[in-house]
Amino acid sequence: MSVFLKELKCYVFLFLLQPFTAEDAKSKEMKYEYEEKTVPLSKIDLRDTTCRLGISIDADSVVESIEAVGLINPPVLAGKGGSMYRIVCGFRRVKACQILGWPTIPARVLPGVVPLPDLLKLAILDNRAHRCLNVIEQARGIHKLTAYIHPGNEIEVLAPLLGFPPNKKVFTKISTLVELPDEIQAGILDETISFEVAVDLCKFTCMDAISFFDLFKKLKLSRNKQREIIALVGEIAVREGIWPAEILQCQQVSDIMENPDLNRNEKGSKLRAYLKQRRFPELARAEETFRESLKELKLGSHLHLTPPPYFEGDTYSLRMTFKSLEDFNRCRRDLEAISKKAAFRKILTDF
Amino acid sequence: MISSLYIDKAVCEYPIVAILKERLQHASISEVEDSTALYRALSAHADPIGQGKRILFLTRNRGRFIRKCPGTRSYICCGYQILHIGTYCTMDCSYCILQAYFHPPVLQYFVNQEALFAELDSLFACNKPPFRRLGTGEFTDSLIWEPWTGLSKMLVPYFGRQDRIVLELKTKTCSVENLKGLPHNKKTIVAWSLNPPAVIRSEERHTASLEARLQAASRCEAWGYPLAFHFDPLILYDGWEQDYKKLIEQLFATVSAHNIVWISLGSFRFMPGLKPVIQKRFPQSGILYGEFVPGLDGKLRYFKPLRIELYRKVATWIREFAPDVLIYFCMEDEKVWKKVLGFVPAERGGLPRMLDTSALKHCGLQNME
Repeated sequence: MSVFLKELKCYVFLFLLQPFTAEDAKSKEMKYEYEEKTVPLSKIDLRDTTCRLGISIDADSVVESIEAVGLINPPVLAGKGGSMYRIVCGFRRVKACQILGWPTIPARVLPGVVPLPDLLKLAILDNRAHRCLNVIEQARGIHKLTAYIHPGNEIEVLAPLLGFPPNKKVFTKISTLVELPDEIQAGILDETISFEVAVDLCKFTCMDAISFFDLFKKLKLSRNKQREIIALVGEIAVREGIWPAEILQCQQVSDIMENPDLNRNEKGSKLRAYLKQRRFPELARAEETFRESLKELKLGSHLHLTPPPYFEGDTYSLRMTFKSLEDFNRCRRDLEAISKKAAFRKILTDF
Repeated sequence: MISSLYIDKAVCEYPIVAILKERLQHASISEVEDSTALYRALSAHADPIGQGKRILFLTRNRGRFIRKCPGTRSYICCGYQILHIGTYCTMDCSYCILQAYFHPPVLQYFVNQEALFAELDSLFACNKPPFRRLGTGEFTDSLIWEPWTGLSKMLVPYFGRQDRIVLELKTKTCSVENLKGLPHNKKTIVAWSLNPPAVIRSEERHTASLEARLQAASRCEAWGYPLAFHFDPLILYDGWEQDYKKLIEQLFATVSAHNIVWISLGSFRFMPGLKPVIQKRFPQSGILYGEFVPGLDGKLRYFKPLRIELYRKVATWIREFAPDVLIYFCMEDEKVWKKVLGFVPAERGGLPRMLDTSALKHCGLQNME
């Protein structure tokens, strides 16, 4: 059977949602004729990810489907010089056919030289025809297409194409995600870290970001706690002139993380306490001193003395619990005794 | 450098507008119905806060020219009163609250000064004015306007003709040339915000150097003006003790202690909303990473024991040169006053009264009691 047995002329219509360039603006519709061909798999450059938006190609589910019913929807390819082809749409399908050991694959081949932005749009629209793009695909779409868009028009052009809200803040946040290592980008998709936490990690080097990510994988903290840790470590790093990764790999953090007697929640709590103490050493010292002073007072379980928040104001609060009039009078006597203690006066003057 | 001059159509006929157009020839000029176009242009800019320093909007002050300083709750306030000549600043200090105070921040200069002087006339005519100190340096720097407007040439003699209220011009510039030869009658105090050269270099972009500020102060002293200094914001960093001590030595090597009406001390504090602004606009700045805790007014302040230590040292160094000068704290509580200076303002009639008394002594204000 000839490799090019089945040849059929078809058309691919690319409808531009917004003009990309001044020239594009003249025509709202672009039309490419393509041919259905059978192409040897060896002629398809699987390493060419120009039009790929996803992080990896997970072809397992497609393998089963193709094995059962064949390749219903042929991938779209474009010539890339010589006799080689680049995949525009259908990375998983091509990969699946390769896994199945097919020597050739039916494909729709775009003719001649198609401008790169048009190839990218075709890839995006092909994906969006049957599902929404995830945030990483949106980020990669922004990254790949921005160079072809008039500065200032990025949001107007890309928001409808990629399917994100037309908002500058959202655009900025999504577009920064491509700076993260693939491992973390994958972590956003499998919800190891949230979108907001990932955005926070973008301001760090890859090494630092991965250190945070490794920690979060182990601890499975809430989003707010993850963000708190990022803020504390980031600020300690600036204060001490070191890399965040150095903090996350220091002995004290290792001792907490490797302590077999602590469960995940306990490790998270201890880690946050350690970081707070390192970020606010004077405050931590004052809190410790206050706790020591309280011990001297011997308040008992029925009296609770609380200092002003952060020792900033001058108002202390005292909570008293009692069960009966007798109990109440006992508390009153205890309070009277406490007011005469030097330790109490010291608390009120020192803090 | 002003790149765009926007003129409110309602004020086009004011003579000062023609003068400013002449003096800012290099700037593009637009007449506008209101501030909408200007705010739209600013908001679209990648750095609206920085761009706002290059756009000047000439308009009228629709509110009062004399107003109370917003101050802050829960801390002791000096009772400062603002003479509201304009907003924002051409200099670019990382810690400047004005970056987050106006939305968006833009240079505005109020040209309807007949209303300003009318308010001053009413104030000066009071038998018992409600306050004795007025300043232009709260929502802007007092002297950045001098090269274009020469405002001080009108204000200083105006205050010089009465003896009830004193004007404080607070600045980080050395634009004092216009003050020379004016009949000030000691009713204008010229004041500088001071910080060590290391802080000026890293945090106070486009401001005059310490040396230039001190030289300008020395010139004003020679012209007979009373002086004031504001160590605000005091910043803690590696080497702060040595730097602030040296700064104080330089200050008193340049001006006489007896001619200083007051010196204020205020440690760096900021609204939480300013933090992301500083992080974005001044990524190299380390000032945010001290031990800041939320204060009673919601602003972040150095943990109190750190503030007390800072104030104690700075006050001691100042006292070595100027044992009698009035030192006060900007927005601190009684505990800080007591621990650092050994008294609380209430024992001396309150902080506004302490400052008024010093103004009476140095500026020859009439005692109205």
